[in-house]
Amino acid sequence: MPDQPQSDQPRSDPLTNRTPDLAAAARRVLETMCFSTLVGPVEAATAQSTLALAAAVHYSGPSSGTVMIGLSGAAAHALTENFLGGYVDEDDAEGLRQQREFTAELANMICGAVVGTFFGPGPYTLAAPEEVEPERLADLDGLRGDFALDEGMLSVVAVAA
Amino acid sequence: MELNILIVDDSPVMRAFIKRVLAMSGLAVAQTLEASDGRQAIDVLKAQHVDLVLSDINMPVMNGEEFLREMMANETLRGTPVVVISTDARLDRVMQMISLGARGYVAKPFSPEGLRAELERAMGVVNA
Repeated sequence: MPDQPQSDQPRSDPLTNRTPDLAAAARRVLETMCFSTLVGPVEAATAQSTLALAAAVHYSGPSSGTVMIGLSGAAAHALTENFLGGYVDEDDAEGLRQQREFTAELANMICGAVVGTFFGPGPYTLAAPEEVEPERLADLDGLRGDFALDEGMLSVVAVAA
Repeated sequence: MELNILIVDDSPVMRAFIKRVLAMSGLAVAQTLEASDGRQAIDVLKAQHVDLVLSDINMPVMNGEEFLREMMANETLRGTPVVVISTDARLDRVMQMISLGARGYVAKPFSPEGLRAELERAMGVVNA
């Protein structure tokens, strides 16, 4: 699936058929900030079954909605280590706190990239990221991308309000 | 010149990431100081010499806008350059923060090279 932005054809729903843009936005954040990338798409059910941490960011402006991300345990650990540039203990409380904070930051950055890519100049306001249960990503009705990473999986869902 | 740099962000992992990127950027850093909101940052600035401030916008207690207003209202602090680091890349947001006194603006995601270039520009460093 190509990752080039689609043409600017008028759409009633800005989230329709924008999965390549979703992938491009996520890839840009991962490559720049986490020294990782998307390997390829995976089935939603496959990704969903692996998710260990999730976070959501609400955006508001001319359009409003929520961008939610989920990470498998392997992805949360590997990306947090990449982000911080050092060892993160998978099992202790400090390591888990770092992975949770990282997941929230990643949601914030991917939401910013998605809103900027999809909706253009705003003004838009992003709320503070909040941790959510990974199960919440399962049944959301919105634009969805599920991706394999170098290690683990990432799910991104954008839901218009 | 080695710089004392104050990182203002409510996220500990983002502060750690910025420290890491500063090290990767090749900038000569003597010391990195940290604050989790604008109020703490003002306290640090009043207590220690700081050459450059990197500040988030969305923070509890005192956000980036309030922090800039308070800094610029203080004759002793207003000369210290502030570079804003934010997910919000909108031009109107950038211009708002510049009008409040920020010397630079870095939108996430950013690379070490991009951060260094903006910090040098904000500090008026030429051919560094």
